[in-house]
Amino acid sequence: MTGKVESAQEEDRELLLGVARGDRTAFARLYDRYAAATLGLALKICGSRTLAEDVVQEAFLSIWRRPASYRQERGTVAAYLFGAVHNKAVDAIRHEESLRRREQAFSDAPAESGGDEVVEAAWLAVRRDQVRAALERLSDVQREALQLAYFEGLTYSEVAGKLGIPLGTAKTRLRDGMIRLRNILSETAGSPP
Amino acid sequence: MTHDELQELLPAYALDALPEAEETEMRAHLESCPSCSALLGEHLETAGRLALAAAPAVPSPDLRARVLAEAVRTGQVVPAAPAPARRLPWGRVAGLVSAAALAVLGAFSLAAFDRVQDLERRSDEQRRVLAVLVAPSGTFAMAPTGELPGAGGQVFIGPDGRSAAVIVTGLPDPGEEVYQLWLIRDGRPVPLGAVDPEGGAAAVYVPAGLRPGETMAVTREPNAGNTAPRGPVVLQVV
Repeated sequence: MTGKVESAQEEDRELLLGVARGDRTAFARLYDRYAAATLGLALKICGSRTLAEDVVQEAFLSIWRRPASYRQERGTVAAYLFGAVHNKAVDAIRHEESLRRREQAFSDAPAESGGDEVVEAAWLAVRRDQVRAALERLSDVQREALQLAYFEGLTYSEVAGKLGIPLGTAKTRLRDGMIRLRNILSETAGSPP
Repeated sequence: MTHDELQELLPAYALDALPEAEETEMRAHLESCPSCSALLGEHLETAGRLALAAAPAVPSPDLRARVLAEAVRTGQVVPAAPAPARRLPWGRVAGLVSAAALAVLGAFSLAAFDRVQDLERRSDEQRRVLAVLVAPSGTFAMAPTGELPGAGGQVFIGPDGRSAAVIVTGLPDPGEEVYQLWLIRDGRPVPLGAVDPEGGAAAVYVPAGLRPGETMAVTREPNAGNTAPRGPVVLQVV
């Protein structure tokens, strides 16, 4: 599986280089590789399909518009893509104006992801199983903090407020949870960090 | 905020969990702090893995059409002069790594680190190795056993104490066998991955520090993927 992950990452870098050259076919291929996974993330955070699709659209367009903002030394293309989607999804649920859009969107389309089978690359599916298993191995409070911050879009101070814990504790739970998650994912046999 | 306070907030930043004012301060800090920037990369990778915990959703064909159509209409902002894909001279890299790391690296054949110098093609592994070498918080020497007297190594602990770069030298081609790195914790070996020398040298990134009472060793295994060492130890932390 390691080989498949590495070649997928290599292909992603080539596609992004293509995007930087204005190659729309490369952009379409990058979209096709990650549309389902990024939409799933946006949907989980935003709760409404309409809003989630807007977020995915904006994220991919921002990558088309500024391909040079991807820095290879900062990480993989996948992490960059998910980061862009996550950032816009969290923005969407935080701001007043978007709250109104969200309420409207809620009345437009239900949140379910659809009954169709999602077709995605095997290596992504394996990574999904790995991270879900890894999350189960975190302490309850670490997992809870990560879920509130990452999937509900709370800031660490909002996490502290919601759980009635000091700011420092919220910061520590997030930090320790992330480090533990990283370590567990690296321990997984044959899987690069 | 102090540098240490900002570094503590890197995981939260990677999770988009900083309030606006702190986010702005963090962005400014990252422009001038390569070690925080490198550490952030690690956390962004973890966040990217976390993203997959969400179930995938079937995108409507309409979404694809909208995204691609807008790309047709939208221009791109690209740098005026694209960065040429060339190899950096060794001197440039030497400016990035600490003196201690350089002393060890100097013992290598440069061929082993050629890929590290080529920033355009640097693999994730070597990027992480360099991030440790730029600002190590500690270092441990590795000594050879009688198995391979010509071997040597050095463990560099990363700035946060929770990562390490292990540099080894003098390892002959193992043929059908495999060199494997281990963390010995509470007397029990934890596999840290294979060590694949080129020109006798290799650099391995490890997402774990060395706590008191722990040590690391390299063995030569009859096959890959063992969960406990079966072959002889060739290098160990002294």
